[in-house]
Amino acid sequence: MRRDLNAILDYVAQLGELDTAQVEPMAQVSEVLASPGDASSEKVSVLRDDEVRPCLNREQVMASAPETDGVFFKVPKVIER
Amino acid sequence: MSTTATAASIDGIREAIQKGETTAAAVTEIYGSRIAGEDPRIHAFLSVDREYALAQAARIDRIAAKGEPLPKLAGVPFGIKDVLTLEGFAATAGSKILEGYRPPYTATAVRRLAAAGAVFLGKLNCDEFAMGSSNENSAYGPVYNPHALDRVPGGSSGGSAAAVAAGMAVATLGTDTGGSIRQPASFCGVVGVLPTYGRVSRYGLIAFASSLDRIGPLAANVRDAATVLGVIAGHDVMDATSSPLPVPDYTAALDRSVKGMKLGVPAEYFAEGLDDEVRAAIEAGIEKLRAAGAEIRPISLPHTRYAIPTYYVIATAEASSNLARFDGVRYGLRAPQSDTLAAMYRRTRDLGFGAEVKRRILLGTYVLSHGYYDAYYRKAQQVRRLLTEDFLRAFREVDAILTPTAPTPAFKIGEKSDDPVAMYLADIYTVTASLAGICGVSVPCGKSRAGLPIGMQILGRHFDEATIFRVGQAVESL
Repeated sequence: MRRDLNAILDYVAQLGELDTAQVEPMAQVSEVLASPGDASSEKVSVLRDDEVRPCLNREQVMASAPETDGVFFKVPKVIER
Repeated sequence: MSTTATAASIDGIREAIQKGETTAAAVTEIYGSRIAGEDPRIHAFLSVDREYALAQAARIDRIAAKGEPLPKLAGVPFGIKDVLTLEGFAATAGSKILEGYRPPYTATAVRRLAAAGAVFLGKLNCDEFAMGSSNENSAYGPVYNPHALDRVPGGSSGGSAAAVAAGMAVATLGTDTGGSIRQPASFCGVVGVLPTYGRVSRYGLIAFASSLDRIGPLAANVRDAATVLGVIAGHDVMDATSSPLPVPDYTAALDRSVKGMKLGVPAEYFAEGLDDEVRAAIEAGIEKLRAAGAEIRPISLPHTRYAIPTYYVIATAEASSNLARFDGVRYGLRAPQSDTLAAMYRRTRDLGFGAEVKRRILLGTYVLSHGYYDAYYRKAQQVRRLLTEDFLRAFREVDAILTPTAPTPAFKIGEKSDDPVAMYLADIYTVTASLAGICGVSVPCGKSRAGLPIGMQILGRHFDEATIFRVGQAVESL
């Protein structure tokens, strides 16, 4: 694992060759879609209205839990006495 | 309806059921017995549910019996990559950490297929959490390429490509984060679509790298792939990155000639490392497009060589965040008999994750860590913009871009599994479109002397899938 990770990091190091001092980081594709002149000038990310909507019920969710009392997820002890 | 592996098309199946020449139940049984006959040596399916498929088929047959018009995908046998949820069905993501997990909800793309009359034969094998280029990282064993059983089908959607290639499904859903639909499509001789980022809702996709992950179809031909994309595309309130842009009829302009279209050929995709037979096949395909009237233009995408390192920083960073949810508390595997919560987390992840997933979580955590964030993660995000601008500049000159999908045909099982960097380079021509968010399709374009399929990748502008399908249809009919 150590050998693999070192090999990957050595490979990734070539990004250092590029001068990016004047380049804004790009986290999301929507950042480039909003620019004029692109095929789509409409905004891509749309937030939905903040309203209460149906959600999974507790029974459905707890059916997947490794350990539960039906109300809460149970886990090994967190705090030492 | 013909029972041969490649003759059945989506429109053909629907029309045959509508006319009463066959039934959805009969079609389902044909594909079910093909899976029973073929899949023991291919291993594309992780689970099959004949009863569920027959119940879906029965609904279609009731509509047909009443003489009412059938929905678009009526009776069409589908397989679903096992990173997508279908309520009540196991969703393993190819990982031991989700063994036995049955999600309580259905992915939007899967729900839309079902609403259009598709019949789900089962869930398809893939690399663990879609991390891999050969399907060898599945915790449930590899998939074998139907064209050569000693070779990989590509990855991570190896089961999705192999199932179509072996005639065990008419179409499948895959996911593509760095090439995971297009590269296996190329290796298995089928059509695989990378829709524009935002075109298909990711709700119900078990996340790998959220700014890159996409869901798309694989099928035996361009028309079927275009039909499926038309069904699954479109806005969804459950995915804030899904686009409100209207979905065009992708099949409407398929048969229009490529005459007068401007198609770019980037020199960087034909440089060192490209297999001679792949080069010859793609160049021959390009010449035929030129003969069909397309204008072929040499272009440059100068930052291409930085795409793989950029991708492996961004994708692993996002993966390290996304996979933190697998902690043994709410669902999936929990390691038994841990004295403390911290020990339970550690042991669950150690038991549940395979080597490649651990490698990527470690790498992603490292590139996000204090002191390394600027050098790796921020740097990669900056180069991501440069790579994207390469494409935006090119698309001012050309309507689509033609490249090989992968540098080689399918490689041998075990050939690259000890060398992660060599494996990552299998995605060298596909990660660029992933980072830029543009659309692409891999279409079969010849075979090697050994009979292995070779794929041409056609890349298009954001939300311009119609154009790449049109070029793909022309390549298919060459």
